[in-house]
Amino acid sequence: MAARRKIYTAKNHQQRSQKRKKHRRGHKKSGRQTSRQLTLDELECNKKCKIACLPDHPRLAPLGLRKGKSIQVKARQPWGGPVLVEVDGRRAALDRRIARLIELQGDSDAEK
Amino acid sequence: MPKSKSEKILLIGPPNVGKSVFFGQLTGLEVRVSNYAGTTVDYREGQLTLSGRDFTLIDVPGTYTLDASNEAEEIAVEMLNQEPGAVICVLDALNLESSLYLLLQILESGVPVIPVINRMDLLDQKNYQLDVKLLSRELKLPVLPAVAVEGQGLGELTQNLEKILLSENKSGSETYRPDDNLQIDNEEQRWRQAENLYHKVINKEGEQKVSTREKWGNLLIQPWPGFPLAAVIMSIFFGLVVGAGMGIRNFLLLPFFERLIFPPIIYIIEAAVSPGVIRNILIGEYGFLIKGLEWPLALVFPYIISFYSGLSLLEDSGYLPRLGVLLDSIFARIGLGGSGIIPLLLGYGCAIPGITATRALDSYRERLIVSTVICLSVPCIAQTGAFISLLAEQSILVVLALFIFSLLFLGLSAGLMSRFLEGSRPETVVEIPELLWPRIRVVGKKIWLRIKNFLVGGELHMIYAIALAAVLYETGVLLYLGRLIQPVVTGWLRLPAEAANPLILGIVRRELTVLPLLEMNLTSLQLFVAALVGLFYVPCIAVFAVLNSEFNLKVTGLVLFITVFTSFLLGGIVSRLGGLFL
Repeated sequence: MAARRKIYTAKNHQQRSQKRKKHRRGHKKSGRQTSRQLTLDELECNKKCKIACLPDHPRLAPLGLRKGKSIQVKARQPWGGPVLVEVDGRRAALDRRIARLIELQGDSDAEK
Repeated sequence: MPKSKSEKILLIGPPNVGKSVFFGQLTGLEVRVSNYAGTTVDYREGQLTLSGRDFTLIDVPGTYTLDASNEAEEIAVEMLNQEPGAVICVLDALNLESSLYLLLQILESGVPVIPVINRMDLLDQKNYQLDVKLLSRELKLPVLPAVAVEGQGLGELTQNLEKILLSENKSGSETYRPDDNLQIDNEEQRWRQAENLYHKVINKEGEQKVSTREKWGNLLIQPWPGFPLAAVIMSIFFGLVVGAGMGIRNFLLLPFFERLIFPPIIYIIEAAVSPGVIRNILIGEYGFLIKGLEWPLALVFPYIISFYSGLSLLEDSGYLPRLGVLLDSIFARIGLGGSGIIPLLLGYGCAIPGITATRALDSYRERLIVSTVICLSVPCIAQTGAFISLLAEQSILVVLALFIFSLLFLGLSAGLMSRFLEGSRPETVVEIPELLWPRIRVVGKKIWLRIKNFLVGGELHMIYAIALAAVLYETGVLLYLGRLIQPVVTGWLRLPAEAANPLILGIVRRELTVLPLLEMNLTSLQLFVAALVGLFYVPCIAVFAVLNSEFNLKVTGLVLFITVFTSFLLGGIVSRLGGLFL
């Protein structure tokens, strides 16, 4: 049942974050030419955005984090601490490692 | 149908929705409730009598879904499979959508279900309207609105339970069973169904109000001003615990016992019992008619009152999960998640609820770390009370120094353990509950419950332990046992030989590592060293029993070794270093 969704493991997390770093470097050089998916940890505070893709974690769906749901970031804890989000008036704290894997609809460039 | 199967009633619902409040009111049992997910970590059974017939009501730990992705959910699924007579599914008015998902899952299992929507009052405060009748029609079974803490909706609930469980004809209970078109076979469909249902019955058109309560709930979790406010709140908490505790002790309980209770006891015993071993056991050095009352009731009890009053308020407000989020990145440095703060804080009351509360944590690894750290460097409130009695006479700063040591070691030991234990830090995914003003009746009941637990449990054990100590001391057995560890006590820790006694007694109760030191005329350095050894020394026998049942013998043995080793190592080092400076 769960296999359909993206499975969250420490390993693919590492790979993903390396990819992203590469991507970011490329991004700086080439300016606006490349675009990529905006993720939850990059979303500005108090700005609404729809969820496009989530990692597999049993507690996300019950807390309202599902595909197509409108989400906003209420606060970001310093030193890599959790991101506080709100969906349907319900608040939850999410680890940055998970927030990085939650992709949002819309493009990171379009957001700016 | 076998009788035993149909007489079970399950209470199922998402975490922190108030299942235990229903449980308490339906069974009349006293249960601990609070405002964060994971208060109930194990299922509980109670008797419920309907029209003269006894049923067993089972309070199942909160579960968001029945996907069996953690221990609590596995318990819920297992119990549903045992064909209970009925299930009371408690839904959360504020988070109805995901509650409906759980309800749909339960309905699919085919057991008779009574859905109850709790916390309706919070919905009113938000100015949302919920069409309960429409929901009943959609689901084809009666849905009951309720405000459990106020007792609203309980009457209808018992009526409906009677209808299901006491009706003789099968068709009577059949109407409560879900109809066939509710058969859904995948998660996404079920979520869509829950979403559709939710949008049909909710009306959010009313004017949106943001209460001051909500504003504060938000402010407290922002890094600014959340961090300074956390420092203020925790300082007030500890200040009140120590201040109120000392006040109750010095002005109320100590004078009461010293002036009114002890003189007649001593007078009577001295008249009735001739000097000797028996008289000494009763009113001598460890005389249990004196110390057995003074230590638990005059020295420790005041702090039980003040600590649990403060903790119960914090628990009911919903502040603790917020504190956990603020501390998350700091706890990350020592390999823990922020939610570890709740078992740790409970551990400052007593290690046993602290260790059982670790069940709400995500991984075995984190449970092991937090439990070990509680045993090693978190003093229970009884021991803290003893520390204050012992050290505050010198200076309150000494008490503070001791607590700084305790915190430093807490961090150090957790950090070391997380480095050596396999696995990585679990990801924090935690719900932040609404901030609620604590209800005086609920908090008052909880404080009373905890005080009662101390009086009939902790305090009695302590009196037995002191009686045993009195017998061992007066018969010379304690002296003999003390001689075995004397070289370590006098040579390494540089304490007087009699300081071996509390270390032997401390195995029975944690505060007994400290209280006997009161009358030993120790120097300041010796006092501090002895207190430090007492702090890191073995937790009491009851804690070992819990460790053994929650983990295994190996873990228990390891904790025993680590605590004894650390306490003696640290005590010796501090006594030597202190000797250089003082």
